[in-house]
Amino acid sequence: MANQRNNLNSVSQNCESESKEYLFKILVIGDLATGKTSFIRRYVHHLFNSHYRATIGVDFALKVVQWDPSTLIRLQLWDIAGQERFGSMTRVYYKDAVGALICFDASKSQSFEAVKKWKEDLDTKVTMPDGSPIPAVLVANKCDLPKHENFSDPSFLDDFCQNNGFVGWYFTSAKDNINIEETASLLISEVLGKVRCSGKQDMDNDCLSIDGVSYIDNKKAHCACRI
Amino acid sequence: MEPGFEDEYDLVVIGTGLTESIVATACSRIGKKVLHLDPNDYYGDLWTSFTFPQLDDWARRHVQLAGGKNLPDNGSQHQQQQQFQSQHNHDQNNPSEKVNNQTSNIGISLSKVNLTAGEMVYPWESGINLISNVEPVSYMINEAPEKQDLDKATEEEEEDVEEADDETEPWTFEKLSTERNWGIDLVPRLLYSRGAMVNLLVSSNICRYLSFRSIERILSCLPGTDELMDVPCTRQDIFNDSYTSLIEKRVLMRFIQLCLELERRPDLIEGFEGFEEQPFIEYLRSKGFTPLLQHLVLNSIAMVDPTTPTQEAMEQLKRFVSSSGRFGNTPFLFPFYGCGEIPQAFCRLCAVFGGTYCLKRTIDGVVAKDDVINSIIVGSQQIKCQNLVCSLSNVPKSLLVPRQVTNISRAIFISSGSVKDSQCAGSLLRFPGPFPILVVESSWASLIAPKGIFVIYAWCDSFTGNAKEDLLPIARKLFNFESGDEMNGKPKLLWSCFYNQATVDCSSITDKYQNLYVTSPPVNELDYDVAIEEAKSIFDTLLPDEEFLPRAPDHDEIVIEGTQTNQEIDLD
Repeated sequence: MANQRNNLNSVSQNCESESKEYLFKILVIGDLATGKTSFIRRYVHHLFNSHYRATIGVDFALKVVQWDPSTLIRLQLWDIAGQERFGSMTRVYYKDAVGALICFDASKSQSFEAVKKWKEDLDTKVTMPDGSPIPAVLVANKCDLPKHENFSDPSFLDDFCQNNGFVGWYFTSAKDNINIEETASLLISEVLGKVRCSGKQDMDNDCLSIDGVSYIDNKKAHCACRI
Repeated sequence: MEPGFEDEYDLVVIGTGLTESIVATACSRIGKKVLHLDPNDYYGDLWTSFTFPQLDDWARRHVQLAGGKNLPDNGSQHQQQQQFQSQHNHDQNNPSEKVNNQTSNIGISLSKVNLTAGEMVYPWESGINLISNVEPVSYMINEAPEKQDLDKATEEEEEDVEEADDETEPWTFEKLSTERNWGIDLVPRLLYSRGAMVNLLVSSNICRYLSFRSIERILSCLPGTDELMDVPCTRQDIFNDSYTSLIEKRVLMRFIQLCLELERRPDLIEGFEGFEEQPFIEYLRSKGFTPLLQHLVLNSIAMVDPTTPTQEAMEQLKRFVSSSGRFGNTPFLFPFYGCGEIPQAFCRLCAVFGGTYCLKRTIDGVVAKDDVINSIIVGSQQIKCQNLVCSLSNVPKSLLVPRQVTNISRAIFISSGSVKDSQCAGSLLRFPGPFPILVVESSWASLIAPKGIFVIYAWCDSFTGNAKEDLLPIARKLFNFESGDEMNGKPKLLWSCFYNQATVDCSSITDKYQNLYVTSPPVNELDYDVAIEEAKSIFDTLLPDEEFLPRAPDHDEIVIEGTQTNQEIDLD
């Protein structure tokens, strides 16, 4: 049966055109009301609606990005299924993710306090195949609103990212469409860097996919089945 | 501030074990508003997969609960079936593992409850403990070496590190504890590749959250020996097998052929050559099966007793044969990351369809009028609900009617080698007897353990009342308990844990509230048929006119409100 995750994170190589296709699972996490869903909607569907209602029955939003002439990326943006909001996410949510956006509301200090907890939680639940943390970008959302004084000095967030293992941060606004693309691009380039690196390793093992099936370097792992 | 729950749900479910999770998901899937809580900080209740430190903690906690000792029952002949009262007497003196720190606040929250005429508030005590006789043992040496030694050792190791092979470095408790990739099941299962669970996962499309590995071999312990042989399951295997003679091969081949035929023509089973009610062994003898063949067919393929009526045995064989060859050599699948992924996959779908999840939470009380629960109390919140589904261990003991309890003996063995030939592809082994013992071996190849580590599970209906007494004899057959020499090629045991798990049929186990449904603990089965059946029956009672887990659409089948053309769909 068709399974859209069949070639998750995998590299499909077309020898004739030298073009590469990737599928990345990206987690979008953070406290309630930090604009996670709005961010996704803006980025994927170019829409903003302040009275947004959770879409029932959807695991992720898919965005196809032509990264460069020879690289096509399918981004799966996994929202916290609205209601796993008490931090009680299943492993299924984290499984096979290669990048994360951790959101907070830059107009308030409260949701920022939880950012560290989200990052720590993320790092314990999922890693890259080589055991390193998956790239995470800090999203200071709702920058269309007056910023909280804590975030007025950008070096504060620079230091914070440095100290807590974020690859970078952006002030964003899903409402005014500020830095949405930039945030996504930063994350994609970081993930690409990591995946290309580990992709080489996988070639050594005669293994083309780097999804959960082959996290171990065991050739027999190819006989994984999806029903 | 932590967000609160909403004020009203159609269904509240306590416990994220498999049966409750299926009910929650089935209700959420057809649009019901579901609140799903679990007092534990992990998903799955007994159906969970633990990391090694989690498992060790769990075992120690249960040893403590039982008063710090794990003495076997005074040698007296233990009845396999017991009454609740005797089984759980000791609970009263011990705090339950599920004590919630909110319970102490119940007085405060209950006083704030809004009651209408005839309603009463009842506190919801924590339920019964289903686990007993827990006995964890580590066989690894140098768990806490002197610090000096450690430093010295590290220095020396650093010098040798280039030459040192991973395999030769001994496993220590410390080393096992720091590894992250674990998925050790308390209640391990295998899935028939055309069985009830696989069918449900496919029909509901929950399979998109899971991946599996086929179990590559079925082993059999040759009668009277400790020797394990590969049971030939396919034509190829039979042809290449070294244990069976040419004649035996022919008999077996013909028999498998007949079983395949049965799949196409189920009518053949009825009136099976006049043997339908006769013991299966009689039928096998009549067909010229040698003792070896009888052993293999009975114990490893049909997995029945010699006295099982032929018709019933043939049904089991049909199940085996129809699941064979779908994915691998054997009919069985094992989930990557462990069986604990399965309840979580259901929970994820439930959440995606709007279900609310909160771990480390349970209910503190209920508001009821006569025999109907109108609302539940969680912390300081009163939540209206139409129905309440709880796993047995989350139901106050006072609400339960006495029932016969079956005790299952279970063991988890962690080893640095396979029970045979260090093949990591997964094995099933069945020891026959009045209380047959099932053994499942999994390994890092299924991403349930760090590389080089095997996890072997064994379980049976308890016949002595104590898991260690039941299962130690087969453990001795499989493992080398002495440290040092690798005698007889048996793998060395690193860690083991024996425990008993009680189970009971929970249909109408309580008659106090008509809208309270209790789910049974895991039973002794290989696949998930009983759990699915129970979940479906609860769902059908709750919502008799609704479809049970219709297929969830894939991403590309959903048109998101407000979007015109989805470019991603075009590119697909």
